[in-house]
Amino acid sequence: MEELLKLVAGAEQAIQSAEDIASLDKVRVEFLGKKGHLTERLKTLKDLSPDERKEVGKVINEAKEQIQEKLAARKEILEQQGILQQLAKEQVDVTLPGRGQQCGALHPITITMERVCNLFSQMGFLVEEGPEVESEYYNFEALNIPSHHPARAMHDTFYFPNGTLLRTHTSPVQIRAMEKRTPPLKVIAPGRVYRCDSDVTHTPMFHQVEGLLVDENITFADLKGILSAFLSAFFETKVSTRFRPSYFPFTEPSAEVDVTCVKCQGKGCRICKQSGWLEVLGCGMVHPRVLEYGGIDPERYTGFAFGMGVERFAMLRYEVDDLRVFFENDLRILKQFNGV
Amino acid sequence: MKFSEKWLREWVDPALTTQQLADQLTMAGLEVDSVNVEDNDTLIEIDLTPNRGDCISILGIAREIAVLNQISFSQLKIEPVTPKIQDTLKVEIQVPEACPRYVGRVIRNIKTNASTPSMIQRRLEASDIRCVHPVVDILNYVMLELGQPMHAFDLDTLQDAIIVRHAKGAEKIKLLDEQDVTLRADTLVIADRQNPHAIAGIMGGKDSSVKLETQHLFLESALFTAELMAGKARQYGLHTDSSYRFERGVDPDLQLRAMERATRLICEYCGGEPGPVVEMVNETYLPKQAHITLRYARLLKVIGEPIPQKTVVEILERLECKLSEVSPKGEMPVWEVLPKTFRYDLTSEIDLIEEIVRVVGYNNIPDKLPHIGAQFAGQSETQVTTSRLKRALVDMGYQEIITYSFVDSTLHRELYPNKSALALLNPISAEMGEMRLSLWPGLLSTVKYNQNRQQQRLKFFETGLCFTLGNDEALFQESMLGGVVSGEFLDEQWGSPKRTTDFFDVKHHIESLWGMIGQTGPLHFAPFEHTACHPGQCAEISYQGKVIGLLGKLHPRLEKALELDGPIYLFELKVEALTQKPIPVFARPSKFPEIRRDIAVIVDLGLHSDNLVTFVRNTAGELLRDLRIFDVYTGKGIDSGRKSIAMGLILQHPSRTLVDKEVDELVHTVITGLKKEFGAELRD
Repeated sequence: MEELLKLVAGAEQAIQSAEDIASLDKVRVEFLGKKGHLTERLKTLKDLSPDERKEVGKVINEAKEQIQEKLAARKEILEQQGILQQLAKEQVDVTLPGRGQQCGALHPITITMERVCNLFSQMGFLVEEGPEVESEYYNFEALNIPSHHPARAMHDTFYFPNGTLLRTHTSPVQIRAMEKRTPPLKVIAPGRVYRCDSDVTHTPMFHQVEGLLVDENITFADLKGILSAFLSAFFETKVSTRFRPSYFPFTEPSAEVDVTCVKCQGKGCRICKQSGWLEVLGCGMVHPRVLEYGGIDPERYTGFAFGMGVERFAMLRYEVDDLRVFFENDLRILKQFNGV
Repeated sequence: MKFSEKWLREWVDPALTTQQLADQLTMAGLEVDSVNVEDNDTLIEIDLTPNRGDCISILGIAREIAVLNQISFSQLKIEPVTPKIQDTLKVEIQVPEACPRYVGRVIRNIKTNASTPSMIQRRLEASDIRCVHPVVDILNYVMLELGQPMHAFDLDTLQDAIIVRHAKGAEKIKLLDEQDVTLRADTLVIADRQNPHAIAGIMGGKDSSVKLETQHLFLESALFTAELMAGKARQYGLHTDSSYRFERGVDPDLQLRAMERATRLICEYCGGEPGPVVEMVNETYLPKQAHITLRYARLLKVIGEPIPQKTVVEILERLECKLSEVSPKGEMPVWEVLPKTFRYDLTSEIDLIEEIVRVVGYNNIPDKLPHIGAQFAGQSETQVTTSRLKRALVDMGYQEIITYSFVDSTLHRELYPNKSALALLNPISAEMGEMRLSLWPGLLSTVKYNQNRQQQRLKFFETGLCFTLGNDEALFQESMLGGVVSGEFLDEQWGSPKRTTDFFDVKHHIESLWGMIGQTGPLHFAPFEHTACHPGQCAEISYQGKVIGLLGKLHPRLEKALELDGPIYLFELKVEALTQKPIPVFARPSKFPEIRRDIAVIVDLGLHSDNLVTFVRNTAGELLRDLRIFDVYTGKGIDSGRKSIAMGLILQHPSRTLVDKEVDELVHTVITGLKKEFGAELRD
């Protein structure tokens, strides 16, 4: 008996000192295997008397169970340790940068132009585009700018030898839209325009968005309302607007629209030249003669049109202080618009 | 128009501070550009719109302020000057449509030692007009005061008569600014019997100008019509105070009054004996004041806010319009309106409507929102927007750029030696002389700009119109999408092998775009020769037989010529080919297992994988669900001039499980076919 207790104690010690599954298995074989110590003991039972056999057998079996339990417990611990070791081995430095490639970005002019168009699309305006090499007819004549008109001189037009020209504004799309569709007309026309002018505040190419709404009961009050609403939506703050009488041959009454300076909220700063106001839009009621050129009865229909310089809006929105930046395409600047 | 505030206030003096006055003018459409406070005066500069020629004078601005403030302004009393001599010069007008009124007068024996009164000097200087000679200064003063440009000739230099005519073939004149010009035949001149002495309404000649020693004058106060003056000064690169006013129009009734005013001032400050006024008028060509019918109902329809009838009438009266009500019985009021001659810009009903709402104040009209009815815009699901294409490229790591549509013709020639481009008549510079044939010039210039700034890994795209000429010089303006890629495939990073972007990386971007729009068939890439591209790395891209684009590596010759770091890959696609996508139709996937068989064959180096793939597809038929090339190998173990291509065939039956035997047979057929068709050997 004492011997058996010693054996169990020995097994327990061996189990505890097994450092991995393999050596633990060796311990199992040593004690419980076919030729293991306990198995050998069980074999000796047959030499005992039935009474003794019963008693001794019970003790041996208890010892066996005890060892089995210890083995199982140790195994679980070792397995657990193994998993932990594996995990420890697989540890990475999560602070290392990820691999792959970054997204690029749209050009700030595109971002601005799309934003303007999207806002008007929500109001039901359809996006239209027109050619950039235009005829005198669409760029001037049909817009009520006859050849002797002083406004033509102000446009600094690029011409081609055959008399065609680079459109000086997106307004020709008005005429094209009127020719193509019948009222109600709700058109928004973004695009490139060109003027023969190049200095710090002028580039020979820039972008405009033109808007046109023609229907039976469109009024000057509507024009004011829609543009004021648009400007607040674009700048995402309730801006004040003021409409100043101006002159465009293709609209009458014509107006220029100022908003409270988005930088200084009207207090006066460098951007608004201390006036508190920023000029952002030109607009007006479509001139009856222009409606006629577009094949629309000016007695029955009225409409309004507006045009805005995209660069101007982009400069205000993103605090760009140099117009020419837009056409230099410096990667270090373009990347600033990733995620806009 | 820049002027002294003090002077203005002599004419009209509203109870407003300078700033209030400036704001009022701005909000009435006479935009105040600057207000400069000087020692004892303030200078106000107004930026006038071209329709308001009536305001290019103190008189005009005073009249405007009087209207806005409902006050009166002091009308300058202008009395005729009694002639002291009977000398006249005959005036002959050959082109009355350009000069319907000409008022002339001789003044003899002015003092040669007279000087310009300091008050006039100050006011001229306030308006940035240089003082030159008392007579000239007085004429300029009257121009500022009343808006009538005038001219004084040295009478002794004129022969017999004043003739208003067109220039004759290649006549020359030395102008006051010392410039010698050859006159264009459509230029109106003021001449005598021999020579031209002034370009009408623009600038006088040097020889006949008033000089220090001049004793006898001939004064001119004429009306040159705006339509015929338009653009004339610009033809000579000139822009004068006179041309500025005539181009915008001068009150057709002002010439005589201006002459009397100027004569009086000249006699007062320079002495001299005035002769009688000679006035030549051709009524036919004098601008006629329009009788305008103004319907109150129309006014309301355009403005959308009820302006009281009383206000309408008041405003028109303040604007000095003659007005009579001609309303049909029981209907909304209708008026017949006759504006004064100085408001020759008011010619139609809409002009009056604008004028009324302008005086009411735009900001007194409330903001409303139009009733534009509920209707769907009708967006087609088959439409792919350019915006979507752009965003796809952005997600692939491209930066969008915007470059000028006109490019350097030299760069054009380098890239497209055989194509002619649309050239501008008046470019800003030679580097911006031609309309771009493709987006590549702009993309390459941008690569260069950035490489010069130590940026090496570049992926740019641009969209926009390109301009090509057809055989008959017909112009095509086609929307294109172009890209350029150069430098490392990835930004420098740990754990990824470094490698330079190659042809197939960029090809994949194009295929991704194509996949994104859900087109069912693949694009076809065929070897192509293009002057701008590497002869062995250039492909024409087509779909269903229609060419839609080009992909290539920039020719090393151009890399060098343009001083670029290569390799550089360029592509260009027609946007139109990318704007339509089919609406997907659901198909249930097969429930039965896929079987994969890989085969590697050795073929001639020059054989295009495309041919192999097409052959395998056709031979394997419907059971082939997918085919992928997973390896291309040349080198050890393969004869030179040959290459190994390994393909994975994914086979699947729609309604049953494939058995090994039939798959083996199919693969066998494919291999036998490849041997026969392409001399392919099976690689172990």
